[in-house]
Amino acid sequence: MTLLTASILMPAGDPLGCAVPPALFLALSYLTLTLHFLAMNFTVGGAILLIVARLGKGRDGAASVRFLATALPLGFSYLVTFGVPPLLFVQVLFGQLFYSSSVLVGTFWILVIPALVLAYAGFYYHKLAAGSASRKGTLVVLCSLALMLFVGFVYVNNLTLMQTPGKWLATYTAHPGGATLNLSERTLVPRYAFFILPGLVVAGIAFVLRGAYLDRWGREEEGRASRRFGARAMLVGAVLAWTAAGGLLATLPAAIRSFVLGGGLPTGLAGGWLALSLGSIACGLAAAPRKGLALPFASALLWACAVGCIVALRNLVRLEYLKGFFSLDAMPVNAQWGMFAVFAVTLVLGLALLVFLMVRIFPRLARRP
Amino acid sequence: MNYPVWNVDILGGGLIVAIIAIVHMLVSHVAVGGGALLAVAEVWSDGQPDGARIRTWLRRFATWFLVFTTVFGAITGVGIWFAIQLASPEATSLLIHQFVFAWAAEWVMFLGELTVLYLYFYGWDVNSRAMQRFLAVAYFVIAWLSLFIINGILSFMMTPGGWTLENRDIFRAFFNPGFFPLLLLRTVVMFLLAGLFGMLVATRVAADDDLKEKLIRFCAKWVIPAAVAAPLLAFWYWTTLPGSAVALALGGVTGVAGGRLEVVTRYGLLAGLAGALILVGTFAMALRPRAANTAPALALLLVAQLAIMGGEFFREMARKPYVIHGVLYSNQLWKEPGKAPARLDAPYLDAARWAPRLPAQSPARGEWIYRLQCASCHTIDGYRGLMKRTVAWTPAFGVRWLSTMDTLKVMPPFEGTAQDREALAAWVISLHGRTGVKP
Repeated sequence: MTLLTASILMPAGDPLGCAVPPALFLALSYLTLTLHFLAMNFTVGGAILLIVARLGKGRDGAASVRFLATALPLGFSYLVTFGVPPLLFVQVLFGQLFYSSSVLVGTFWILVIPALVLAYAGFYYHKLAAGSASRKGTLVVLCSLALMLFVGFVYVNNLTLMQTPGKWLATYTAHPGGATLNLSERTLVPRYAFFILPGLVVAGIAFVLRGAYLDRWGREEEGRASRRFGARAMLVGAVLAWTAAGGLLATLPAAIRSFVLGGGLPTGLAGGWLALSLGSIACGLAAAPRKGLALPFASALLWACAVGCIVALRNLVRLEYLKGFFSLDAMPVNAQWGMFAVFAVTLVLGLALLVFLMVRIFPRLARRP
Repeated sequence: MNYPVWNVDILGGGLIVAIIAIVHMLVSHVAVGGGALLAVAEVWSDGQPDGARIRTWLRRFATWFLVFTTVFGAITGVGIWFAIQLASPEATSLLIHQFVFAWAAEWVMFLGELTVLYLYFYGWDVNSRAMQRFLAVAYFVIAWLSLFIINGILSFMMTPGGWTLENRDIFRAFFNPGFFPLLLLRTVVMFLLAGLFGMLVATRVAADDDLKEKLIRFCAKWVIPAAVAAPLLAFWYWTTLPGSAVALALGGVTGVAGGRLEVVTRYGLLAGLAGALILVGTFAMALRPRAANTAPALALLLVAQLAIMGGEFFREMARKPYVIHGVLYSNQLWKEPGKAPARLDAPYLDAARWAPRLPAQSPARGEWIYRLQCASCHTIDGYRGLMKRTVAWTPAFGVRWLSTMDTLKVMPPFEGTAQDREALAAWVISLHGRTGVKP
């Protein structure tokens, strides 16, 4: 099956080839992209919940505002940080596709940067300068949220255009300055919704977890409110995400849909996502009325695994779109095992230091009201 | 042409890269140097009778530092990556594929830097003094290692040394001739910038408070030695530049309408003036610290930003006509394949993948040749605009100039046939409202 025509243009791969077998880059990419999606979802969903909390009345709302005011700049920071490695590895593995599509939407692609700066600054402004009840604070968070949604939309445009090179030449000759988007793509809106809407689930899980810890530290009333607020957000987010998944499946080209549903690994990953997400929501809802850390942690872990399934499936679908014109198997490998070892040692030492510091400091930090 | 060329009116892709890079240079160097200042100030405050008050100020410094470096530093760092993908995808691909694990290791530093900084800042009230000192030192060490790694990649672009596409020798690529002088220069500059940033925050202390005097003098000590050492290290770096870059900077090149590119003179004056202003300004603040206020402190940082801008433009100018010296031209043509007459003399648009199919006599051929071969560096009437540079062109002169432009040493060789040159010259002349048909 191929969706592409023989007249397609496909830039030549980099003459330096791949520094380790592509499977290793894919594994690193899956891991870091999963973390990126979780941080992105937390920040987007958290911003929505922050607006809800700010507009709501009462003490619980004020406590939620305080929690999110501190957590969202951190979430934003880690969404950027965990976004870097997948961006690096996509260039190594799919560079000739990614660079081409990025140039084609270049004007919007570069606007991602000022949008990120402003969104990030907005969260800090909200934390450091805006009063907890000020209308300005709500407006600033709303602007930051809108900017993040814009960034996500540009990403989805670029990444869908990347896997449909049949559109490239016509797009470029019509807009050589890159002032266009891939709006004719049928999957665009459901795909965008599918990656953004789980934000409510992830932010909800964070609230359920927070509630469980507040119980533990003797702040039971606050803990119960947090668990319930989180569980409600999870349920709404999950229903929306499942609906978006259905929409995405319906708009995929028939051949790709058959690939996803036709059995084997892709179907296993899609089914795995559904089962794990159902399990996660069930745990979250079960945690809402009762104390304890097990259910909230199970919910978080199951959701993270569900996201991992989607990350892997997303790559398989991309390769299926490009079948016949692009293959990772054809990529030459010019091994840099020495450099890989340097990276691996750096990663292990770096993570060891961070884990040591987190264990020492984080529990005391988190306990603060 | 392997990739499409991003055609940005007025600004041009190169200037967008430069704008983001210049801002990032300032913020990222403050981010590293500021870590050193935090670490030293943590230790220094312990030995001072008013140590607690110094630490209160340090908390204010850390707040500004955190917001400034994470919001602007982290995002503009990613921004450079976005911009170079668009302006020079071929070069970006080479840098990514050759240095992928250096980038990956640098990301580990980035992750470490951020996390340690957050633990330091948010843990202010719960961490012990020893832990705060440890975190400040750890932050600086990790941030400097990040600089160490990125410096290897950036210095490679100007001085690839013994690296070639064939040997792919990463050791020689990373520890290239420019590596150590540039590393030391950047280290010194980051101390200077950290001192200026510290002075800016210190000016917010009340004028009648003794602490202001103490803090401004403390910060000035970071600026003055660094401002003296920087020119010496810059000269060391100069000695490692490729001969063609030195010749270009020293000799100057006469452009057809763009004036003389007296690179050393132009940027030497800018660097000298900026350095002198920073030195005089810092001395003045150190001598009369109570009179120091925000405006002059901010002005000194802006002067530093101007000096950085000069340094960035100097490097770009000296590297011409390459983006990776001796390897890849600024317009994404490889030097080695470009040398082959069969490619240089072949019909350009037939080989370029990103042009529409055009009839042989179509006037649009010239425009597409410009778009794919020239627009990486030039715009029509904005940054490095064609209009200004080609005002005196005639068809015959245009064709001849295109045939010999690489002898100027700032332009790559023209790729294409005599008909391609005629088509491009005709299109350029038509921009001036004249006919471009060769007599």
